[in-house]
Amino acid sequence: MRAALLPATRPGLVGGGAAIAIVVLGMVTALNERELAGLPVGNLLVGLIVLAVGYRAARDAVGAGSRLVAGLVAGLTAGAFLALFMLFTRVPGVSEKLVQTEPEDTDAILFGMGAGGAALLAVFGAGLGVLGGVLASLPALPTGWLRAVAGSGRLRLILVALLSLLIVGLALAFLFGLVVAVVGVIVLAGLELALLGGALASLPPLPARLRQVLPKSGAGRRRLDPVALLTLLIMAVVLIVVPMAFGQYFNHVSTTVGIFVLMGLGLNVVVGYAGLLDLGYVAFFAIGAYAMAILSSPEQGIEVNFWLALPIAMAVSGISGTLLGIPVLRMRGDYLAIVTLGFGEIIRIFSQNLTDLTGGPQGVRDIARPELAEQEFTTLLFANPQQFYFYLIATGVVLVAIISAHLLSSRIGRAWVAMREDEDVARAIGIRVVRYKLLAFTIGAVFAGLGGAIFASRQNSIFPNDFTLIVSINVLCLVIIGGMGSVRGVVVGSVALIALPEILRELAEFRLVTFGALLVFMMIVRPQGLLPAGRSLVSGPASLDIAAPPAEA
Amino acid sequence: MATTSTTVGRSAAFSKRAFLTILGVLIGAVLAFRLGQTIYDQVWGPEVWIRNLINGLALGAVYALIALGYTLVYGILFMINFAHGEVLMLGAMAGFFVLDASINSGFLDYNTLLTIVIVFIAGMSVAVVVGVLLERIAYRPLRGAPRLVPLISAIGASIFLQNAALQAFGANVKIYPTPQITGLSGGQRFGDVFVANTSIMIMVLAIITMVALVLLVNRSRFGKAMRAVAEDKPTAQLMGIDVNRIILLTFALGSLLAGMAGVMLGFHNRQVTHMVGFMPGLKAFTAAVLGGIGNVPGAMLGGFFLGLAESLGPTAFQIPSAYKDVIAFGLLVLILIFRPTGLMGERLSRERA
Repeated sequence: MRAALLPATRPGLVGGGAAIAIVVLGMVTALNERELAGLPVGNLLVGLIVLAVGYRAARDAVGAGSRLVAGLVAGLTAGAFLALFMLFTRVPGVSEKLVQTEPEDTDAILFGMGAGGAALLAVFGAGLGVLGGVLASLPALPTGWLRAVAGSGRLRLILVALLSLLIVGLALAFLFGLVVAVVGVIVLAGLELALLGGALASLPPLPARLRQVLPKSGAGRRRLDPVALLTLLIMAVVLIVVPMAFGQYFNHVSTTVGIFVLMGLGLNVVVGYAGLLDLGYVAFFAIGAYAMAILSSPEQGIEVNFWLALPIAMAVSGISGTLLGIPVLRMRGDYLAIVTLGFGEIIRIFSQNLTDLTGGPQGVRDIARPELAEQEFTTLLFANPQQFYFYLIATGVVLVAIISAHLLSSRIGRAWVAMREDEDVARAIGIRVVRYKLLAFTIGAVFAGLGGAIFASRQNSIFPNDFTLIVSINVLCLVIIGGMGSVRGVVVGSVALIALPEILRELAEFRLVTFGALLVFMMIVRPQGLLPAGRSLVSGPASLDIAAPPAEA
Repeated sequence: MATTSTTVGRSAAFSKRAFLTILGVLIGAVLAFRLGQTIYDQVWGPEVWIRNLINGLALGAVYALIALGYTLVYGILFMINFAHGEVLMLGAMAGFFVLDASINSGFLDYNTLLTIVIVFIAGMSVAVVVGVLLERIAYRPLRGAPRLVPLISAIGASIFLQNAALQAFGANVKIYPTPQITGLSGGQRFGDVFVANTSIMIMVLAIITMVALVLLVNRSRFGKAMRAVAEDKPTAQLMGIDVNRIILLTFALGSLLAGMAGVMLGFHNRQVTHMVGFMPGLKAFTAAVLGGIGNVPGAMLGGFFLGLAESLGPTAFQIPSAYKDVIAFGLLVLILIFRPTGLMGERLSRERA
């Protein structure tokens, strides 16, 4: 039993640390504004953490007695740790430094009793820990049925999906109101369609699917998978009909997601297919946007039509991709990463300082909107000018997705993958590495340029601050979260990374903190991304030969 | 020792010595020419040049300290610790709070030097704790994963730490009360050139630290173990080295340097916010790559090189200092074209004991 004591302090310290973190970040204060069953949610969350700590510690222990003791020790440690910190915040001068935390809340955590409250908190923690230990000692829940349902039969899969929609919808409606609930359910439905749609139809990855759908030269027509076709059809109908009901806000979010999908697909070519780590990808987005802006805004006196400026912007962006590609051809891995990052920064600095061309920090205004035959397209067909952008971007996304899926399954794509897996071997078997690297940079840049040009037009005015390093990082993250090298992954990643934070605005200031933590968590539990590509994706020599560390003692 | 790398395409690269000589002569010639020209044309006198030289050296010393953290971690794990700048920021924050407390309690009035020492120790210890926690939570579970995975995790950690600092301590600028500290407030006048005391402190402290670090890496048992781990982890493990412990200590060492750099920057710039780690981190990473990432002398050389380029570049070419980053990154690209693995080229593991 004694052997269980020391290891149990570790989860206790971790949990205590987590509890302190949410107090310091002000989450407790913010959440205490809500009540659940008469208890303030923030304090409830702290209690829940301690309970989880006890559960976690007890699960590692063997035997009913030592489980309870482990829970007790862990809970006591967590409670004492938190209590000590709370006492520390009562030192004069300390609590003013923690701007988000109200003194009343720290008082409340100490039960409003100061030092005595700290002791009480430790005891309380111990009690919660024991409770966690009791929970851990209960016979395991029969989770097998879940796997059984998920594993067998499409019908049950659909049932689970609908059930999850219902639960999430109710939860969101209860917590945040109807609008958020509807939006959340739609987003989740989209995610599920993407995730389960594949499982439902047991579809192979997109390139292979396209090979089935599209007629192939010589090989003759393949059998069309009816379920795949149906899925595509439903998605098309949803894409066309649903946006008509969109309001301004949801339109904005969905077009933003679309623009990030365009960029993600481009970066996916560079990083996912060709294995070239580009941290300055925003540069091409910026170049496309500024090309569109300078060509079409009356400020520069050129005032070209949107439809003419669009291909020019893409071309300019593509050329700059080739130009960047030439000097960095011989660099690898992290050297390439930092040089591209520098390139991105250089473009941003130029956009900030070349005042004659880019307007400097004032940016470029009055960028053209898409017009047709002297008529504003937008007023002709759509109630809301933003709606046209949705269809424009959706068309762009579909085209770019088809192109990039096709690229992967073509000779070019195979050359890229070979290069990614081992550049030296690829060179040795006769792949012209120089040509294919430049091609990857160029195509990636063209896609980003398209996204940038549409972005500029949608925004109507652009500023250097739209093109910071954060954009590059966001795009890289969405490619990897979605699953590198997979087209569907990029779409899912964009929805997850761009739309969810928008919808979670309720979390307001905790958005980015949560986002960062989720990113770390995601890499630990599912490093291959949500929807990884089929082919092996070891980019470069896998980070070293050390075996995974032995399980935590 | 000579060319251990057998990379295809490497044959066209210059040898290290030839390249460094050519580069040194070229830069020296350009600078000498512009120095003569600007003084002759009376654009600016020699004192401007000397002032910027000293600023560049101080800046470079800070870059070098931070770059060492990147390079040590990279040398051993081949990962970019993107959150290193945030470690620096938290060190600077900790330093500020201790300094603030010591002023409010009147401790500073009695014992200035001791206060400065305590501020540094506080900044460095917080940085070490954060660095070690980072390694344990965000990086250790990812050993052996493809290389982009720890990078994303590091980016996530960076976003988390930056915004956590914003949440916890607020967005307001925290003023380091440097002017209230007698030893650090003023400066020294050498002829026409005025040098801030903080610059002198930075340079002296940084150089002592770097000498100590080189000795530690090359002479101590720990340094030997570190180089062994960088060279070959399984073999190091077989030789009885606790690989996980060495990696953790390497993180601690890098974070210690970052904490020191953070407090230095705090004293020098007289302010901290949750954003202060970002740019220095980026620059120091550039410096580490410039010197050849994974290479200890390379990081120092890269740091000083970058600091001087940023400070002397605009002086030499009479361009607005807004373009100093363009000069820095432009030089980086130029150098990497000729030496794709940086100025010093080889990694930590390739060094001779």
